[in-house]
Amino acid sequence: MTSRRRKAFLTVFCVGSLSIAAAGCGSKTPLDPKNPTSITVWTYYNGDQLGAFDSMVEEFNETVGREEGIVVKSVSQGSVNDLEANVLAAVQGEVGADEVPNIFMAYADTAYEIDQMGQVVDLKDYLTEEEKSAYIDSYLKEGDFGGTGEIKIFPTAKAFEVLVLNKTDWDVFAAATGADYDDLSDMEGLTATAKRYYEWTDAQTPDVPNDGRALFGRDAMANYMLIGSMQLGQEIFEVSGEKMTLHFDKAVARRLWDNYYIPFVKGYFAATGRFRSDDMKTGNIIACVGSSSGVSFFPEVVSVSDSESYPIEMDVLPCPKFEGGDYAVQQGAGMVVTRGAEPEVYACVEFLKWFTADERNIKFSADSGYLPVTRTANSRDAIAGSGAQISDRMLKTLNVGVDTVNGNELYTTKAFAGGSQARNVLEYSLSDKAAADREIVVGRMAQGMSMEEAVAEFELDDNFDAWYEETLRRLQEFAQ
Amino acid sequence: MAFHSLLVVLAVELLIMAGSLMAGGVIQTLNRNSRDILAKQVENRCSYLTNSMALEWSDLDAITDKVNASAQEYLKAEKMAPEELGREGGSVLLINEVCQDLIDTMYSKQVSGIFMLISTQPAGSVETMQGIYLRDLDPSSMPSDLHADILVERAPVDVVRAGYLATDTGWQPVFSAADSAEQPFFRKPYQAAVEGNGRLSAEACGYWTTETYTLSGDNREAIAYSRPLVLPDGTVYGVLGVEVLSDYLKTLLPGSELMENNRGSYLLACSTEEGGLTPVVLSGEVMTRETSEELRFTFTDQNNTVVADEDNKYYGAAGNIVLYSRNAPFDADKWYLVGFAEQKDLFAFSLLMTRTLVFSFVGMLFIGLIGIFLVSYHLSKPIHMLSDEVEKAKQMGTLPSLPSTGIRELDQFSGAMERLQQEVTDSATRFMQIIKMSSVDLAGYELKEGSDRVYVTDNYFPLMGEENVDIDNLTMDRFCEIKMKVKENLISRTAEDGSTIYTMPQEDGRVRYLRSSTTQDGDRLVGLLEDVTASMLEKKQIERERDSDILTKLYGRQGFRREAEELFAQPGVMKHAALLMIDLDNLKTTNDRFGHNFGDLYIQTAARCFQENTPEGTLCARMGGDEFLILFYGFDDQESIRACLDKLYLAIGEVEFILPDGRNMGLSASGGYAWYPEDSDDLPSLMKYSDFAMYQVKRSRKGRLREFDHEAWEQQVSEDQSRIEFYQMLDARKLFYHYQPIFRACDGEAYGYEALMRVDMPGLRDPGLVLQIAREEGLMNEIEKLTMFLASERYAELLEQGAVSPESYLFINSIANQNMTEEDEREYHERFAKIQDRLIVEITETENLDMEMIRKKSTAEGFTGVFALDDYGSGYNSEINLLKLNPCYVKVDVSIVRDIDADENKQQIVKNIVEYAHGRNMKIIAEGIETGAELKKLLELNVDLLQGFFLARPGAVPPALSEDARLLLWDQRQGG
Repeated sequence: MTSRRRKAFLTVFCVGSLSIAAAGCGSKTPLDPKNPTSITVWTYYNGDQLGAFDSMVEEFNETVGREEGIVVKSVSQGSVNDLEANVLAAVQGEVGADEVPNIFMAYADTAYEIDQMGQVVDLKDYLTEEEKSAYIDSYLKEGDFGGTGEIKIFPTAKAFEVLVLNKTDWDVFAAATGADYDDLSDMEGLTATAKRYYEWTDAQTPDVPNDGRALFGRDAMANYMLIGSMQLGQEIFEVSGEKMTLHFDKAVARRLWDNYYIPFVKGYFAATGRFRSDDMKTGNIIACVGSSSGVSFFPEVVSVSDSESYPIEMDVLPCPKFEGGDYAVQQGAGMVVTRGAEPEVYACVEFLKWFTADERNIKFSADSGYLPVTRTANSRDAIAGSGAQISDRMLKTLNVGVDTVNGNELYTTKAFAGGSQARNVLEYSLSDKAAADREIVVGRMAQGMSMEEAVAEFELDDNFDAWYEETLRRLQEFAQ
Repeated sequence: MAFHSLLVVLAVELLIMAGSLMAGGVIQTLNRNSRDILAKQVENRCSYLTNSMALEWSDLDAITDKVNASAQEYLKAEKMAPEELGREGGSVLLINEVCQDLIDTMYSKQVSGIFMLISTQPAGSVETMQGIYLRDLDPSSMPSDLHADILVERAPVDVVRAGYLATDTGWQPVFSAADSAEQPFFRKPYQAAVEGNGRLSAEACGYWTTETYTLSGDNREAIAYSRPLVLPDGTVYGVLGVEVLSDYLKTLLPGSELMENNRGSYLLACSTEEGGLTPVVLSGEVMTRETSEELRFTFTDQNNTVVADEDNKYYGAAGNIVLYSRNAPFDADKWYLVGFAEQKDLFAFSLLMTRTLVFSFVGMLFIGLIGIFLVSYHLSKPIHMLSDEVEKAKQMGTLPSLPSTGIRELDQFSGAMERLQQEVTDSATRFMQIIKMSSVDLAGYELKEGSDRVYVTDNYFPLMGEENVDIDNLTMDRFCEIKMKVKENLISRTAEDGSTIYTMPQEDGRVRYLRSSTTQDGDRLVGLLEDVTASMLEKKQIERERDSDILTKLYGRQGFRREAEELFAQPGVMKHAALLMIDLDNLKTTNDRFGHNFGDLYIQTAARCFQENTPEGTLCARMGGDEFLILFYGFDDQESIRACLDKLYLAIGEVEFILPDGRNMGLSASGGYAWYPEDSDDLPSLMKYSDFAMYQVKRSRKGRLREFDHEAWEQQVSEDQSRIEFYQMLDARKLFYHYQPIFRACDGEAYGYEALMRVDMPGLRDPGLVLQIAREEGLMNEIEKLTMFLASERYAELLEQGAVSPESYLFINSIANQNMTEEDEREYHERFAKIQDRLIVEITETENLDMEMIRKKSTAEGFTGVFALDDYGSGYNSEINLLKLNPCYVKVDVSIVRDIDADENKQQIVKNIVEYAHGRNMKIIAEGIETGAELKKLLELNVDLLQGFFLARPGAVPPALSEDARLLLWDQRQGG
């Protein structure tokens, strides 16, 4: 090889090397489209939500993911509890556990727990201030465990509570009694309306005593307790730093008691099916408070018996409140990114940012009954103008949701050690007691007791005091 | 050449590559491996799925038993007829009761759903049907608390109201006809059981739906396995089954495991009557559901393990899933799990391999050809260019100027060659310069085998004395011819180092010396011719100095020899010459008398004389002591030399110098000379001859110069020859003896025999000469001994043969003053004792008879002591000897006997001795009698014994008395 030829060869070689190097340096991402980074997302989505989520993931993989070199794999763990258990098992490296996912859906409590194990990535530095400001503040704050502005939960979609109404049956009742939607706007009004409904239905069959029907039921009792307390001026779990201070005021507790336990044992409220949506389907109740994400489960037909069913119209109303404070629950898990290689974390953030961009966020919301997480997407106009195909019922839901978000202070408990269990105390202590006592009442009435006689025992202050003391004691275990 | 070789190498390489791939069947093997891997994967998955479907999911024995038992109890408790179960609300309580069992079964079997339909009516006759249909959305996960993961698709309202199960969106309290009676999962097993009429077990009637179905109000596809519910009395009251959602089934059939990049698909399919495959569930991404339904898949082999579509786009490995027992109602449904891949993916590796190989093959060919071309072109072009340059330069006779080729190595090489050539030329030029500058003429030539060209330096032939040779067009033959011619005319000799030294006379009379040497180097013969005159002369000078005699400054022996030899090699220079050898007389006495210093002066004077009185150029040398050699040469004839010799002789005679004792002394030298080339033309002979001539002078009268006498020389040589033969004779004891009888005068009888010596050597036949030489050589005693022994030996033989009479005497001539040693005498006595007493020793007269010797002879052992005095009267002191010896016999010498008949003096002498002898009891022997007259006279004179040719000649065997002598003796006796 002559020197000239050798030089030519070297030149080609150098240029080639440089171009490769340049290709490597030119891109700001640590990703390589030719060697895609694969990330796994664990959700607890089911049904329509899972479908919606999966189709979004698919879209991402085929567009941005392909361009940037990201492959997202969606795995549903079926339920929140399963998800939590599996995440913990994975993080703790239990035998037979799956690999820790790059992203998992979690409520603040679980996220906090995993964060305590040092597995959660603070995404603060992955977002510009501008990007951060696009999200609704409280959503981002949910993941600010240390109060230092860290983002350990990435908000993707938020659920809210709505009142779902069997308008068909309501209209009959309303027409007969003059009841009106305003009666359903505050808790006391709801309780009173429920009493009227029970009595009205009982009166339909004069020959059959005590066959009044319940108007209302609700899921997520903890929300009722927590938000109700907030509305009544007290934050049950006041968290500062890692410290939880318990504020379980007896007066507040009494009002919560009076507006759930009492109507429940009397049959004005009910909860017989697995979820209130089931009760709605079987005609047990005609209104319920539940997560907006559950709206899709509500039926278009009510089957009162195996052979008897009729179609209904559904309406969505804002969640009734205690008069006092405009608080609404902020719920729906966010996405938690676990520690991993830089390209993986980067890929996770890219996916989440893409997922929460207005249009897509609205589309997902429309399909799943969640609300978008950015300020701009949270407006009726934005939703209406998004072009997403939204069912009538879902549009109603989202509009209510937007109003709820915009008209209330959104509240969610801050994470603290034992938060989940503390929340469960609130979830079950009142509802379980109500359900159990209602059984007794039903039994007594079946034996010929009047309703007043049957419930008298449970309306006593002692009954409340006993429950309050017991619940307080249990909650205090979590306070520091 | 290189081009062709490279092409062949390339072709062979490619052929080997192609051949090995083809012969090795690599591609086929790769494809087979791919198929095998796919088939193996499918086999494994099939086995897993078979296990799930046939053993796990289909095993509903426990739950059906439980449900049947519950149903019986229920009927009993409610006092219902079995037919009433199918009535509206007739089985809600039963359903409620078994609900938990169904849930448990669903969990434990990890199926996505479980269902139970109750009907006692013939299919098709009902509008709705009671039953329950539950789904677990995450069947592979652990059961959730509070049945959180269960959704109710169908269940009576009461079951829903019970509150432990959540309804799905599409929940309905009862099954519509479309969801029940029309669904194969109900219809098929139900009918089978009804038609079986109790003969078939519920298990045997189990059925897997061969198509997916959806429930109304729901869009999730599923397949199901269901069995009839049969009461012990044979009443078929419903169906119980498990459902597997297609989506769930798909997760169990990961097409990604078949191929990389999800390029594989599993198809769960059922065989149709036409032999094709009906897709049931498809997983993976290779084809869409629509595609799978459009394509017509058929088995391509007898074992139903390979599946292909009509276009052969896909390749499928099939595994059979056995779901039914033989002869079961639905045994005709054959289930298969087929693992699909597109052929291009499945055989991607071999395709890639093939493509790569073809590419590399073509690439190799291309690159190889390019490379070969480039190499050949770029390598051969510059080489051609260089060789052209060299050729051009050769023709022009200049140094080639090699251009740059662009190939560094070649340029380096040609540069090095150029430099080398330049250096060689420079050094040659320098060398030539040095040679030209040097005082030595140097020339050379080079011959090369196989080449007719001869390289000769310009001065080669001139140096050889050959002008006008055209060396530019000199052929080998011509060169050799000229060289041979020149050589012939030159005197040459071989030097110690093997080279040849030519002596070349020059016109001015001087001599030029040329040294010629050759070196054979491979097929080249290099000759070098060198003018070594100066060194030769210098050498000669040195030699001369070395070889000259210190005393006289003349040549010494070595110098003379060398110079002379050189001259002798040049007859033209020698012409007529003479070599004179001179010996100073009286040197010894001079030395003895006046000391060596004077002796040296004597020699110096002589040398100066020789030098001064010979022509210039004459070679004078002192050979040592008082001996000189003088070579006169270059004369036209002998006369001129003689003149010089005479002049020298006179000059010698005139030299006088005063002895230390004051007396005058003349220089005296004896010399002999021989002629060149008349006497001889070689130096050693001439030296011998002149030496001989000189010794002749010295032996005779000193102080003369004498010419070499060839005859004298011959004689001398002859004597020398006799002497040599004498010794040979002695060594070989080659004396032998003849015997001459001695007769008694009185009766003519043989009295005795005289042993006469005979010698028969080529140059020595005369016994007298033998004796003379023996005497001269001092070997008389040897002769004495030989004579005694040999004569006796032979005589003993004659005695033996009877050729001589035992009475006879043996006369042996003994040398008077010689004796055998005592040892010899003893030996003689031992051997010849018999002869010894008849032995008579003849003592020849000598000047002085040594009586001591005689006495010793006589006392020798066994000797009788009888002597005969030989040659009496031959001149010496005969009488004295006679007195001294007092012999018994006296032999009158032949000189007395000869012509005694006519000489009275002789007669008187004989008369006297006879008288003297007879008076003393001695006998007289007359020897040498040759005539009758002599005999007659001797008889008259009364000698006793007779000997001579007239009587008998000597012979090896002694002859008898001659007839003449016998007659004469007879006459004499008669007369006397």
